[in-house]
Amino acid sequence: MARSRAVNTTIITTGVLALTFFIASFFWAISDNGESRRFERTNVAAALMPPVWWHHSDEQLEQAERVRESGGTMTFFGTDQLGRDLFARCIVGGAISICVGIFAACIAIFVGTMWGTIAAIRGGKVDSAMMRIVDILYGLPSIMLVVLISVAANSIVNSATSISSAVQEFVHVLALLAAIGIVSWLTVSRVIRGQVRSIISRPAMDASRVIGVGPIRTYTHHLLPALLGTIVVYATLTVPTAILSEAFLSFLGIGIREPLPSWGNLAADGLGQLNPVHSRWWLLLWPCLCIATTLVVMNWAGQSLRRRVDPRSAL
Amino acid sequence: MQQSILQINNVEITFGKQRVVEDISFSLERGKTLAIVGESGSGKSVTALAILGLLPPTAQVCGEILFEDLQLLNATPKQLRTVRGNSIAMIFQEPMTSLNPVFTIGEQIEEAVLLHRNVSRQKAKAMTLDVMEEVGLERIRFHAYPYEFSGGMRQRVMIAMALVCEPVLLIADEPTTALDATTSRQIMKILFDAKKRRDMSMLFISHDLHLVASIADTVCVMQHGAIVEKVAAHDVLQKPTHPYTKELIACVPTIT
Repeated sequence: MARSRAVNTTIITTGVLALTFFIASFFWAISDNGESRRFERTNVAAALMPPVWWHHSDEQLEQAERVRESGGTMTFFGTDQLGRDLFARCIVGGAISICVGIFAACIAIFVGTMWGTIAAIRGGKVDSAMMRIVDILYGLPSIMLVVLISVAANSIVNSATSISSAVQEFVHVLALLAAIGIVSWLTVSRVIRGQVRSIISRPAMDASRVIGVGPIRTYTHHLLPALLGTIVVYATLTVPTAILSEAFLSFLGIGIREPLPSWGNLAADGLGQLNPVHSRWWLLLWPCLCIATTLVVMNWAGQSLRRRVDPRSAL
Repeated sequence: MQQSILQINNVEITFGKQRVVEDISFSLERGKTLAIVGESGSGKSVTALAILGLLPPTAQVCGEILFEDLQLLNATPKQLRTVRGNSIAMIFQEPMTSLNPVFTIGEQIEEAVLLHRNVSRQKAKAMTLDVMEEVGLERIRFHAYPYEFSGGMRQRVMIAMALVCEPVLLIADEPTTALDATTSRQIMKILFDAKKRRDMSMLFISHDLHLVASIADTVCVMQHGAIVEKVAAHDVLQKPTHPYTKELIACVPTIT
């Protein structure tokens, strides 16, 4: 008991430190020097520099010399083709990816909870019909659906010429969010339906009806508190899935687009730079490492939360 | 002749094609106790649930259930909600599972007050504490959770939940079946003290004819969904007329 508490403290401290570091870096990365924000700042002289601690070839040493003379700085993560700092781009890209993930998961959880609850409460034919719809959607390849939805949304936006480019960008992101949310509510709705069915069959629900509790109050005061654990667990498990979908789509070029960075399109950039002659491995490594770490940490957090909430699966 | 507060006329309940209760009628006067006795599956509990409109939608109820001046079978959901817990309260058989594990018992008793009485939180809490004392729960248990309670204590909580809004009619669906003999006696005493104090009517459902004979005014014996005998309680043990009633009286296990 004492040991697990010590471990918990360590984990929480590490988490808080990592979060602080991330937020501080984010503000550093979007800091504006009057011309452009840091993650967008190009410097052709410093293009494709490896990380400062890595072995430099003769050419790269000369290039580094020129960068120093022109007042540029060396970077810890290396730079891309336009000389932008990869660290700043990874941080901003991460913020975008995680935001997309969280919002998409919120949509998925909201839709899934509503759908599952309504199916369970109505029961009978309505229930069967609603769950068969879920089964059918389960059968469709979800990534293909996301691709279809976001491509359709994008083409509609692009055809409307009167909209400014900033608004277009915003609609792109919104379409992406909606598309990912729409395909990931299925599991949530199944789980919630099962939970609600088991909760409303408890005698305690009859007892609450006996004292005259109305349907809305039953939902908010008796059903929702009992469901909250499940909802929280599935939310934490849906966020990494949504992040992964976003990264995948951006990697394919239909998600977040340049000039906005995201882990997916940074990785896609990096892949293009991988060749036998000049291998710029840092362009691929950092975004991939970021995605992998985030997903592992979030999945692990979700799983341990699930173990907490569901005592039967605790060891 | 006292005015009857609950009148059930020719009620028939069917689940799909299966008829569970057929053509039963009885009435209950203010301050009286009517007991329904019968074996498992004879339709006692279903009748009780039908009064409160709590049967699942698959059940069909025909006939007339009159509470005071309200037709309960034609009442709107809103009317039914104002009746439930307010003028008709109910106690279940299963005290172990009938309480919501997420809330403290104080909150659960208080909920009934807050739903039906337009009172402040302080007043609601005061009413809750009073009724808790009446059923023999210490005031400090207000913040206790159901899992901390034994079956008898939980049944007291259920009774407190039922009594807190001063109902006119209390439906007790086998309130002591899940309890041991000693606790069961205490619970019965609490129930009947409360009933006397408030001049409440009670619909008491049980399978124990001997228990019922000592507490009720009238006894209805049910078998296979029909009332086979309706007699005054003091006559039921001495002068049973229907063979099923005789069987019920005879079926008490004796140790010899």
